[in-house]
Amino acid sequence: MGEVIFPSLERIAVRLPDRLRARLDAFIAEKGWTLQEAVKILLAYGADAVLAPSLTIEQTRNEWMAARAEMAVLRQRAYIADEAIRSLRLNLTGLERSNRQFEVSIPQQRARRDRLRQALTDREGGTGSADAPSDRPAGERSPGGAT
Amino acid sequence: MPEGIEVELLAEDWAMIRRALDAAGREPEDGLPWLVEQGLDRFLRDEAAWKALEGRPGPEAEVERQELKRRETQALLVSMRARTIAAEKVVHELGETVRALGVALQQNRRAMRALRDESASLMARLQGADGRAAGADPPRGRSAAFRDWLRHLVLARGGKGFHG
Repeated sequence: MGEVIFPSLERIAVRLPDRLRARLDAFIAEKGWTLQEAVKILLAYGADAVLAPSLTIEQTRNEWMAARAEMAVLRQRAYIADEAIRSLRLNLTGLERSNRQFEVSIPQQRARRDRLRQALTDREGGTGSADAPSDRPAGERSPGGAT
Repeated sequence: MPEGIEVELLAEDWAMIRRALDAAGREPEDGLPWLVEQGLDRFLRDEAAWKALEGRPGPEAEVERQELKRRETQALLVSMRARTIAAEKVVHELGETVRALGVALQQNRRAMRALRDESASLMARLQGADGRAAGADPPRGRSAAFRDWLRHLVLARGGKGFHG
């Protein structure tokens, strides 16, 4: 499978002085946003205020429509991703549980196999007819090994 | 020491924010909280402007409304882009882990099956070896039991057969 390349994300640390934090807490409580969401949205609002793009009526409308269309696509992608995460986490839990069970049962089964090999060696009087202990699966043993 | 948080932004959105900080002559350390506050003030002003526009007809009001919508949607996009990409990255990473665990499960199943088959074969050989060591008869069915009973009967008659 080919390597998947995602657009790069930057992790930014933002200091929040007490006075600003108090304003933000009231703001996010009212909007129902997380603090991270609010900071990202407000950084973008602030940047737009500073850069103050001078747009014609037509450009404003076009930019708004383009932003709306992008938002619709992103909402759909985010929904699909969230659903996939939920389903994959369920799969992951099941697979981890099954593999953990095998981590217990395979050594037990291997020990049983080794005991049987030893018992066979003992019964056959050390004639060498029982196979020497090996971790190789039975299917990989040479036909001559079994008498 | 003021409390801080970490946020993830798409590189191109971070570049736009850096341009705004440069335009304001500020470094990220102090500039980011300043920009958040500028954004909060702008957001609250826009919200008030939106309310003031309610019920105001006419093309001028419509142009203003579109500008407010443009700002709001573009700001929301900055958050949504990062959130979507982050979620899709998680999907990819989880998918890889699930695939690897699926391969491990197949290997474990194969190993278990091979061990069980080998144990069953060893057990069969062991039972055969037990039988040979004890000089035991082959497995006894009803016909074997009948043969034994007949042999005992013949011996009891002094070795004479029924026709003799």
